[in-house]
Amino acid sequence: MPKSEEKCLALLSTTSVDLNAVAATVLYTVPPGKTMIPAFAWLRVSATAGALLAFTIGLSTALTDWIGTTNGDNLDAAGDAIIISPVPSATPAKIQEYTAGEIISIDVTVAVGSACTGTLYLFGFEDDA
Amino acid sequence: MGLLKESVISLLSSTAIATHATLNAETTIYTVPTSKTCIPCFAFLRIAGDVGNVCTITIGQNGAESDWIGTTTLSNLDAAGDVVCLWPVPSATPEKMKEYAAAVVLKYKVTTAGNAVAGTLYLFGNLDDA
Repeated sequence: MPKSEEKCLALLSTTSVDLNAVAATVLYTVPPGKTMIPAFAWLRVSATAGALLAFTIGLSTALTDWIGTTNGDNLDAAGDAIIISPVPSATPAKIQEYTAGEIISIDVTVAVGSACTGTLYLFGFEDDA
Repeated sequence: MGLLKESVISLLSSTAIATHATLNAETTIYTVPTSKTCIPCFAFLRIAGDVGNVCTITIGQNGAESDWIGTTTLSNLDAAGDVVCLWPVPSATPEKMKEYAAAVVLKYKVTTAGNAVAGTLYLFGNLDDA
């Protein structure tokens, strides 16, 4: 029986992220025999993210190849969330499939400057490789 | 119990697109089931190679193949494994889409020919009772 990730847009991972540390955090590893295409993500915060936060999401060795530099300055209070996705257009931005064993990470490139934890919900789907 | 496709955004179809080199080539990607209505949400196109800089496509119902996705340029698809997401652009005045009734056939159409490169079109959407 196929996994829900192969028949639906599914929640691939839920990951706690320290937004006050300039560091990469692993979000997802593509399972053996599968390929994965991410669709979008939500980031929910535990406190204000201030005006500084910047991050990217991508392959662990190419951390901007899905989501380029994105600012979190609209995250003003606990429970605020943003949707993170390539912007649709008539000439769509290129994204890519990720193959078995590849690791997807969020990279905080500019820290919040005060204690703030984010929860990153990654949505996408899998197919057979 | 309702179908999963009636309660989630689900994968409605996964379709091989044979080539992008043939002008006006149409590929059937979905037929709405009996007594259902369908609202497509978005699609992902995964490519097997460089499509070139001029290729354009549309998606819509048979006979009106641009009524869901209007002319879209694939110039960013440069290599095997590249993907684009195809969906109407959200805005404060959203673009009109349509529901599709039972038996309506949705097609992918090459409107400006590109390279002889295959692809896979993943169509996501939702079904409801007609």
